Order: sequence, then structure tokens, then C-alpha cells
Amino acid sequence: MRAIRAIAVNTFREAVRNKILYSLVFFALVMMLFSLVLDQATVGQRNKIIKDLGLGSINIFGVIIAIVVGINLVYKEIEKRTIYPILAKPVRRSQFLIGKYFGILLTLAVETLFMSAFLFLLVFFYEGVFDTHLPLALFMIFIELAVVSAVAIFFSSFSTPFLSGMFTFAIYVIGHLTTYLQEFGANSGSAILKALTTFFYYMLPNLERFNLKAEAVYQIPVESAKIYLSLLYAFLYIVMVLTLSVLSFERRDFK
Amino acid sequence: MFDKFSPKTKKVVLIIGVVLPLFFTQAYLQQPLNAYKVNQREDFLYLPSGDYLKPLALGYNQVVADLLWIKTVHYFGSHFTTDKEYPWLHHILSIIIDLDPQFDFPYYFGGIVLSMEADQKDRANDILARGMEAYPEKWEYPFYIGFNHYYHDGNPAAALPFIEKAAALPKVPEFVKSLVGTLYLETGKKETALQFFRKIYENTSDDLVREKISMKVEKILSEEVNHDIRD
Repeated sequence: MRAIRAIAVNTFREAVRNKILYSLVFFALVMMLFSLVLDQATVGQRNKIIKDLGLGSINIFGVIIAIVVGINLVYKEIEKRTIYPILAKPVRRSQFLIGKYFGILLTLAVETLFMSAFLFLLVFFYEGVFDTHLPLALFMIFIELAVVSAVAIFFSSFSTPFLSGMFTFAIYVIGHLTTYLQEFGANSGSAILKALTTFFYYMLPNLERFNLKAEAVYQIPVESAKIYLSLLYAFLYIVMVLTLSVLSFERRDFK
Repeated sequence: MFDKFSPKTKKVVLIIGVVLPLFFTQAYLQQPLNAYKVNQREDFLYLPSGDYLKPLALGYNQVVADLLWIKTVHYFGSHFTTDKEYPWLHHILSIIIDLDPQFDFPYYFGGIVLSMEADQKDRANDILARGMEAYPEKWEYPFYIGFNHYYHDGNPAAALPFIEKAAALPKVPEFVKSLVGTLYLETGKKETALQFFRKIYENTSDDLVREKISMKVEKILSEEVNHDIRD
């Protein structure tokens, strides 16, 4: 456990030194400020645009950060050969990978908190009250980022950063389309296509489960059971993907 | 010759000698380019229906709907000040509603603007009917459909079920309830109208409404008496 914690903290320190991270957070903040300009160009429900764009920016830039950080960390350690002294110590490969994952989670948690605080202030200055419906949506965005990071770690455990990035982004896109895929298969009339789409529906992460942005903006109550089940789903999926990552990483040749 | 300068001087020379002239030239070029009009075309022509756009939004449905909404406002504004033709307004509003069914302003906008300004009453009613689905507790949407039937078609029989529906919803103003009675009268249901007016009279505490309803009831009854005398 100490090894995992040490690697996680180190990963976090390494990530916050990365300038790309700051530029992405900066762009997210600019996007949020841009909502104030868009707000002037519309009529009716102006505060909705600020919240929509704010939540959307935190989500998309969070995903980009998760992918950029996730695909590079393991690769850099191998490329710079810094993995050798780490694994020479009493640290198992699984501990190394899980430590890396928690480091990414810590990085994402800090950047999500920072951007969320900015959005809260923006909404507060606009509406004069703190929106109590936003935290749940923001928390679920973080959960989505946790799933995407696990997928990024999985691909980076056996592939190059470029390919890992492409694969993870593809999984992110398809992860929002799995329901449509299943519907498409069910309506196609082909048994093979139906079986195939059903297989992908269950195999790929259903990232729409964590999308509560509309509920936050329109202040629609969300059943607590739905949230708990979504959290359980995310937990099980992350554990499954990390297990596969560890299995793949155990067999990897660092030469 | 350039080599004898220090790196710092080289940088300054590059900025002043190359970057700044390029910046001012490109900025200057914007002026003559502005003279060329942008090829006028309707961007909405290329927008697929909401059913296809929804998966492409990747969960950012609200943001896409907001951006389309801003575009709609500009589309309406530009045509309102020029040709007053709005062939794509219903299409784009439908997409916004498909993407973000809880966004209620497009329902009002579509319901009123399509019927009053664009003279597309059926399309306005289509948008309002979808508003009724999304917000079944709002009295405004059935009321506007009823209003379109009554005002634009002069068809009180078609308007009646919608105004009746609106009158039964919460937070409905008294005038809508009163309008139901008037529509009963206009569709020849005098007894029902009287019963309805009496019901409102009993249920309201507003003196002004009571006074107006009393006057209406008296008028109906006196017309009935006159009718009997003439017979």
C-alpha cells in the first residue's frame, strides 16, 4: 500500500509539472468565460448557457487531460528508463500501475475541483446564489474521467502513446453511443449484428450513465439508487480494466 | 553580417523587421476582404434531424442546443429585418428540442413566432404539442394551441379541448377559465357554459372576476329570455 501511495504522489507531482495540463485548464476557464459573451447573444434562460458551457468545458477538457496524462505516464517511465530503478525495489508491476492510476485520479480531482470552483463563482456572480445542483453533475463528470483514465492506462500498458490516445478517444466516443449501437442492432433485423452490438454494449463503458449535466441545469431530481448503481458500475468497470492492464503489463518486455 | 549581432538583438530585429510588418499587413488585408460579401446560404440546410445529431453530440446535447439556439435567434433577427421569410425556423427549433427537450424557451418562441410572424400555424402547433409532452404541467402550451385554432382559424370547436386542458392545469390565470365558458357559448353549449361560469364564480375569491362572471351570466340569461320572447 505504501508503494502504491508513493507512486501515486510522485505521479501527481510529475503531472502538475506538465505545462500541457495548465494550458488545458486555462482553455477550459476561457471557454467558461466565453459563455458570458454567448449569453449576450441569446434570449431567454441565459444562466442555462453559462452552466451548460461550464459543465461541458470541465467535461471535455477533463477527458483531454485524462487521455494526455494517462497515455504518457507509463510510456515516459519506460522511455526514460526510470522504470528500472523503481521495479528493482520491492515494488510489483501491479503496484506500479495502480499507483500510476491513483496519481492520475489525484491530478484529475485537483483540476476538476479547480475548474468547478471557477464555475461556481461564475454562476454565483451571475445568479447571486450558489447552485446546489451542480456538485452532483461535477462529481459524475469526475467518475467519467476515472473510467476514461483506466481505459487510457489499459492501452498505454501495451501500446505507444499515439495509438493509446487514439484508442482511448475512440472508446470515449463509442462510450457515449453504446445505447444507440444496441438500438441499431436490435432494429437491424440481423441476428449476427444484434449479437455483435449487444456484445459491444456490455463490453464498452456506457459513459452516458455518468451524464447528469441536464439534470443539474434543469434542477431535475435524480434517484439516489441511480447514482449508487452508476457508481457501482464505474467501480466494477475500472477494477476490470485495471486488472486487464496489470495482466498485460506483467507480460510486457521493457527492452 | 547578421552573425555579428547578439541573439537578443537578432530576436528584436526579427520581431520589428518581420513579425510586426506581417502583423500589420495581415490586419490591413482584412479591410479589402470585408468588401467581399460572404456567400449567402442557409447553413441549416446541412443540419441533419435531431435524431441523427443527438448521437453526434456525445453527451454535450445541451451545449450543442445552446449554440443552435443562438444561431436561431440570429437567423430570426436577420430575416425579421429583411425578407420576413423563415423556411428553416421550424426545422432548427425541432433539432434544438430533440437535443434538449427540457429547454423551454424554444417552445414559447416557436409557438408564438411561427404562428404570429412566420404564418406557419401548423408548425407552431407541432412545437407547442411537443412542449405539452415535455412540460405537461404548463398551461401555456395547450393555451397557445387553442389560441392558434381560435384566433388564426376562427375555429372555437378545435380550440375548446386545448383551452379546457389549459384551464385544468395549475397556476392558470382566471381569464383562461373564463375563456372556456366563452368557447362553450360559441360552440352552442349554453348550459355547459352557464355551469362552468357558476363553478368559477364559486371557486374564485377575486371580486373583479366574480363581477365579470356575474355580468356574463346575466347577459347569457337575458339573451335567453329575449330569445324566448321572440319565439
